Amino acid sequence: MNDETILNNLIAELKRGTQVLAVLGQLHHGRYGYSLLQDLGEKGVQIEAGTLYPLLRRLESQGLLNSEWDTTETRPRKYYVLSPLGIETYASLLREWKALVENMEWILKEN
Amino acid sequence: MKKAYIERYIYAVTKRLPLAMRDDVSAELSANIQDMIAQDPENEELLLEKLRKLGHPRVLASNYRGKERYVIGPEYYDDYINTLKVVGVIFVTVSLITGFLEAVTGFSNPGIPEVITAVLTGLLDNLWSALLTAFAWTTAGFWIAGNVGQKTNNSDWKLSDLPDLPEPNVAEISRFGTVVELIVGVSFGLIFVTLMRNGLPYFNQPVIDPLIPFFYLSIALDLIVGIVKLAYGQWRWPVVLVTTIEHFYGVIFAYVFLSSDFLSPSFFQAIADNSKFTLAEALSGFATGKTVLIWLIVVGTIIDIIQIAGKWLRSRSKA
Repeated sequence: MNDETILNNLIAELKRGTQVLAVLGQLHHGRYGYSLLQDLGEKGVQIEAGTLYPLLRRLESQGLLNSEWDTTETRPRKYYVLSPLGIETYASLLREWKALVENMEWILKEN
Repeated sequence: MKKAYIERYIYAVTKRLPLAMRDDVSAELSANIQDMIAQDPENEELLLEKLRKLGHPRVLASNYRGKERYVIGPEYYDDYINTLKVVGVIFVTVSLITGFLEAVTGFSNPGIPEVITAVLTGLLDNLWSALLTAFAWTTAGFWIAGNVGQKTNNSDWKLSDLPDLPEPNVAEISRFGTVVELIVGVSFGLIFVTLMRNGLPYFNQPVIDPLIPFFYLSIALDLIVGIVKLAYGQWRWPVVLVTTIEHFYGVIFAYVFLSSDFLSPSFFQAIADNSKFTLAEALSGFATGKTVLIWLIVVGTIIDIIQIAGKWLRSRSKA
């Protein structure tokens, strides 16, 4: 494994944990897969389509998201939105995230 | 055309998924892919680019399935490989014996070449199936342990569950050496005992027949010593114990066998007829030879036992 691969793996690992938080944060209103992918991309959160689509289903099966097929448009789309449990979980995760950022900044400032 | 590619991609993903989620994943993937290429739906290169972004169907399917699935999970993998090695050696040895027994039953009066050929073909016949059987049983056992049994509980274990440390000053036993010793020892033992069971020219059959079970016992002891050596991998006390027992048995048995009249009178007569020695000279020369051989075996065994005891005692005094 060369240095660059090691670095890329570490970066990917670092980002992976934040993806769920980023996705949940975008789903207070119903969104479908591709539009969510684009929005996240525009906001600088690079998440692969092949990761995002399965992630949405997984969060749904965990009860954090609800989904609904919208068949009124020309192309039927599956919309995802936070469930009540999802809203609660997102709030808790957000608190954890803020504490984590604070701690990390404090630790990293020492160097 | 494009539609066919999309459908083929989706099929390649969903055929790897549980039935219950196939339709829904298929519909959602289809919609998402259509969205991804909406800017230019007929452009084949764009489609390929977007599908590549989604990833290889196998990887995407694995993402959809969520948890990784294993025949042997990573937490069991090392134990699995180690068990496979030990079980493999045991199965190969046992198959060697059964293959050999299958091969030699049915001989009426075999010569040495026939017995050796029979043992070798019996061994080869059984070797492959023994390896496969060992592999299959070990894999099945670990699969059951990993999938049906309880998951390894990360927090529910006691300090006393931890394995003993290998004793740092105890001499290691070479695994390879033990395996070679085991296979060579057991096959030669079996060849020898079969030759005697089937009657060799010049051997005194009525004297040898009652001794046959003791030859088998000797082979069984070899087998036990080999397995115990493999299991411990070090000169710890159980290895020292079984090895010493085996050595004592060997020397006593060699003494009993060599002191018996295992060669028939016709053997000595044949020597006397075909050489310048008289019958009396042949008999007394042979008796001297036997005595020397017995002493060599006794002394050799004692040296061997002292060496083994030395290894063990040295390690104990250092510990």
